[in-house]
Amino acid sequence: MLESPRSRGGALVLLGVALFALMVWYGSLGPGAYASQEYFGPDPDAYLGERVVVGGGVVDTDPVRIRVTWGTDGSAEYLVTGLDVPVERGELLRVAGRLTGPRTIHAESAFTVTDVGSRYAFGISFLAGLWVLARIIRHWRFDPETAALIPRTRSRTSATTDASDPSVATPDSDDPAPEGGDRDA
Amino acid sequence: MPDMLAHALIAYTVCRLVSLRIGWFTTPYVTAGMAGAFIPDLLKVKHLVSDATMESLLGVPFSWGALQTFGGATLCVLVGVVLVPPGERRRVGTALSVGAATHMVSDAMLLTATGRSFPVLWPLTSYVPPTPGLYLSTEPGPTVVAAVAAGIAWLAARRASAR
Repeated sequence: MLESPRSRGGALVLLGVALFALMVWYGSLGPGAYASQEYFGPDPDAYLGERVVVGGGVVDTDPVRIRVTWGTDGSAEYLVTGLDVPVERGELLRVAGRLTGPRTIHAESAFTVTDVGSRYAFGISFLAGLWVLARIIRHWRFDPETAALIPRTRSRTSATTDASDPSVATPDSDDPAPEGGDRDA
Repeated sequence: MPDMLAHALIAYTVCRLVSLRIGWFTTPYVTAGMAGAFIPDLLKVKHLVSDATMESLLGVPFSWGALQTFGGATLCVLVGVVLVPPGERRRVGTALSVGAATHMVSDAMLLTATGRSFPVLWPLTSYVPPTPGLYLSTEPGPTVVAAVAAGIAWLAARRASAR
């Protein structure tokens, strides 16, 4: 099976190409049941009366207007009618409904996200990334000989046991194969 | 999605519980599972380089969204599998898949304006399942629940290894 760094590098390139092709394919799929602003933004006439879904920053509350962007530089304000949720300027409004005019959406369902909420999500995701990265560094290592990632095992000569992580302390029979071993069970 | 910390905690919980049952699923594989939970969120790179920017640069249709579908996640798992030696591949592939799957299931329950989630199983099918709309990614609630579950799983594993 793929063992040499070269064959594995080749496999990575192939996977990269496949991923790229998949993303091109996904991008070519038309709008689903609800068209996003990528579709109705540049071509409102084609979507008049159709179901749309979009998120935009609230710029006005009476009447409710949101700023929507699409593409690399497309942007417009949309009037949103029929809302039954309160909105505040600066929040993000996510709305699904019908395009009743070139720049008007009649809401069927909507919710808001506060600025605090967005910042919370970003911050906590960053922390999560750090946590998992720390675990990866602690539990895996890069073996330059095979140019591969292998799990760190608790060697017999090592005095370190991970007291905060129970499974590492389990008997060796549960631990993965010793480094370099090819135990394809 | 529930925020990324909730995803990591959910993956930890599931993987830790699996490790109680399956002998080889030790801590490094719990960590691999947590890494797998990050795979569907790779689409977040669209905030740096948008779909539209990619399309104008490349001249072809493009969407990072494929990374949160079954097809995209599978290819990413295979990347992880290639990064490890042959003897580790089945285990790492399993762990990464479990982690990615927990993420996708959690995401499929997010609140959306349309009442439907996203084409989770694409390209096997372009069906978009309805969502129970349980939470938003900007709410801390799911993270708190996930943290409690993770704590329980950790305690259970500790007690199991102490026997």
